[in-house]
Amino acid sequence: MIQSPTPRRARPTRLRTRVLTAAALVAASALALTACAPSTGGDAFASGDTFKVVLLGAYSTPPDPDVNYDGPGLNIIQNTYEGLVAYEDGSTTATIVPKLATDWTVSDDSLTYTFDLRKGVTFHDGTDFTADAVIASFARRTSVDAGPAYMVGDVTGVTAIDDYTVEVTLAAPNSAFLDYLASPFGVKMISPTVLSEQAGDDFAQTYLTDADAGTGPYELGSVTTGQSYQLTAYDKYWGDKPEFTTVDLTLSENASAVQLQLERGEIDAVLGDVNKTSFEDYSSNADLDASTFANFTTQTVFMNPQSAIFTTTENRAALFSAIDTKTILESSMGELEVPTTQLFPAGMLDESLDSQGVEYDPNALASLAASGIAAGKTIRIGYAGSSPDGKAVADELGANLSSAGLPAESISYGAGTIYGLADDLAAAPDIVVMSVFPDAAHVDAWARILYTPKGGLDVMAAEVPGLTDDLDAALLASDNEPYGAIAKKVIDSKYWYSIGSLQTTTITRSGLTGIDDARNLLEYNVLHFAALGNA
Amino acid sequence: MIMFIIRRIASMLGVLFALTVALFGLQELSGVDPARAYVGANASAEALERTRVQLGLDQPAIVRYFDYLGGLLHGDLQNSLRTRTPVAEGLSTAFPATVELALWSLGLALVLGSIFAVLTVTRWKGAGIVRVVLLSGASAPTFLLTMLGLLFFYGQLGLLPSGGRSSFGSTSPGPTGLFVLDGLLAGRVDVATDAIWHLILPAACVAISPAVAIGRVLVDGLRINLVSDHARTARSAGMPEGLVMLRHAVRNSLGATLSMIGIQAGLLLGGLVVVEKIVSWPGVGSYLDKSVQASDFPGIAGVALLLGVVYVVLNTLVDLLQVAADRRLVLS
Repeated sequence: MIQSPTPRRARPTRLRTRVLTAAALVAASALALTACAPSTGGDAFASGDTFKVVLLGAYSTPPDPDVNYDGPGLNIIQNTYEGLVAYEDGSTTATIVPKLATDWTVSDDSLTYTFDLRKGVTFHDGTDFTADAVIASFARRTSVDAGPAYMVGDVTGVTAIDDYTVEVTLAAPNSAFLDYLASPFGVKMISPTVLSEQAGDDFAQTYLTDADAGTGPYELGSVTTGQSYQLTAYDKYWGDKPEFTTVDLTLSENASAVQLQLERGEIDAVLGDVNKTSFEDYSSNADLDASTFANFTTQTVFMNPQSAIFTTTENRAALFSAIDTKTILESSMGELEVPTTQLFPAGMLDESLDSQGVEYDPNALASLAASGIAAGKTIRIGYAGSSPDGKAVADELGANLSSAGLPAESISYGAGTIYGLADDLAAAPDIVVMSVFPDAAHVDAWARILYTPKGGLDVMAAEVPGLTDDLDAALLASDNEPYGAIAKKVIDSKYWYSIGSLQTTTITRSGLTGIDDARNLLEYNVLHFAALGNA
Repeated sequence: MIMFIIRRIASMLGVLFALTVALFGLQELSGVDPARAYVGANASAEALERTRVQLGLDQPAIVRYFDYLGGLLHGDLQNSLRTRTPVAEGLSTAFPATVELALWSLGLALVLGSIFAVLTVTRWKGAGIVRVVLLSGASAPTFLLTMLGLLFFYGQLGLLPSGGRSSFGSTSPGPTGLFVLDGLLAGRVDVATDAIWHLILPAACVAISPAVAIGRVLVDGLRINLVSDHARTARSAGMPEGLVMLRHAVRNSLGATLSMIGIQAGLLLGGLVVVEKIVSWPGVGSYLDKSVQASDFPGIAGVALLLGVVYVVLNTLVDLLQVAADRRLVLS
């Protein structure tokens, strides 16, 4: 008689033995691999000659100074290229200092700038830096015609007086011109040899996607776009030689993993947006230095001109007064953001010319709430998802409004959509909170972009009548007085409210020198690696 | 067989065409301005307008769509708006990274699923523990599992690396772009071992969920087939239990299991997108993630089309394998 096999009979001892043997083999293989595996232990910080830094966030734009218009890209461009002038590193005021130009003069009619060029400078391909390079670099900026090209829009001619003197002529006086040259996004000097030999049909843009042709202290080595960039010290650099001969810059979007890497001593520094909690964690770690540095990046409230609730200047003024800036920033950003009373980035203009004059009044919205204008409505606060403080500030602001009797909600917008809000203001949120930075430390560079509809950052398309003409006129002036009047006009419109200055945040291992000198007021989360050294 | 493959290729072309229409439609509806991402946040309205013209965004959507389609027919995936380099070039380095991770994940899923099934069917004493571990792992979201894995195996134990593909740079030492294989082909055992070490955590985290799904289907198949008439006959004829398992139970359970493997392989690709971001794996998922952030339509479309091809090819392979495993099946 044949019996049906039961499941129990389907597990004879021999089979079980084989399964166990197989499991043992797998375990043994795993142990063997463990033995062969490279060490991941944090036995030492990246040592001696190599500086390992992780940049939090995404960055994939070519490190081409005439194309790049992204803050993170400055970590490569500012270390490999130089302009004629620059803003002083390590200074909390925007002071223009010589770089590849040792001196300059401006003609009486403010139309001609004459630069004396530094001698003994070579590009990374060995080409000497002369007036020809200046001419070629200005020409390329115009030819490529990307985002930063507007900075040389007024230039009508660049002429070599001799090998080491060059004259730049403008179509009209422009008090912001030197600032545009000093801007991190300003014209950088590029080897004319490379521009000629690698021109192709795109002004050498293809070549400069993974190579450099500058004069900076570092050369661009291996590049894996969007993942890692290696910089190596240029041994013929005209200035002080960098202590770190190699910089390994990698990108990561996983802040937790990067924090572990830093704590385990596998990297030397983290650049990029860290939140308040992480910053406090880092600060409490004795092996790490967490520090901030002044920056012109400014948290700004943008009002929708078509908002049903905030149509009038009075209502917008009431809203601004109801924002408890100090408390909001303290609770959401801590040391990472400092409240500001100025409209323009703090310190760009003297406070006597630029003061928003907004006093916090917890009852400011009471009459608005009581008027019933917001009945049945929810105030929508948009913020840029990519902004480090956008969500925190929008949420806190929403809570403030709600407690004042005006229900509010915060909405995240991607980088690709927030700039399109102005196309359909009826559907746009009532308020947008976003941190923005100027290209240069000149009021014109800030005001024209934020407060005029032609500017890229006037995200709500609000307009102050006559402001463009005022800005044009101010460019011709020899002092800052006209900008005081411009500040007042913008402040009185109540379409914009600057609430805080974001601080550059740098987390490094302890025992590193030169951190402050490696940072610049105009560059957010950027390090000039040549200034760094070991204690 | 040839007709079957031709039909599959035709259906693949249909799928890809539908994908391009869907992607283009979504791009139009999203309201995202690729020119803004291309030219930078602070760019003036004039610069923005010039860029729109330069990128052809001033043209009607239908014109842009057929331009894109025309390029596609010539193998041109266009230039990425993000990197300014050809999308095909970017994908040619990202794809091998994803293939390597996917193959290891799938391989691990098969091994774990098989162990799970065999231990369950044979009622091994420790099967309950294995089941609890696998089911717990499969119940957790992949991203959470990966994060916890990082915290424990890298942060606490220091056993596994924090991320990336290799400690030896981003260039593979061989022709395939698969670090383990290329390392072995080039005689660089250190590169291959290091690559395996980088693969373990992400592959294991991605593999757990498919392993359970595959294991469950295999368990059902094995249970049915182990008590079937032909298994009983084989035993009565004196065939050892191990051979009964292999020749009668496993083989006859393969059809449904292969179907499940096909489904899980497709789903696994979705899981990779998240895991790649967490462990900084430079694959197609990371490429897609960055492209989405930059509103880079050519990049997004390139990845979608590539994954569409992979999905169709995978299903075709599974169908062919099913026929090979069970001759009673006919390709149709």
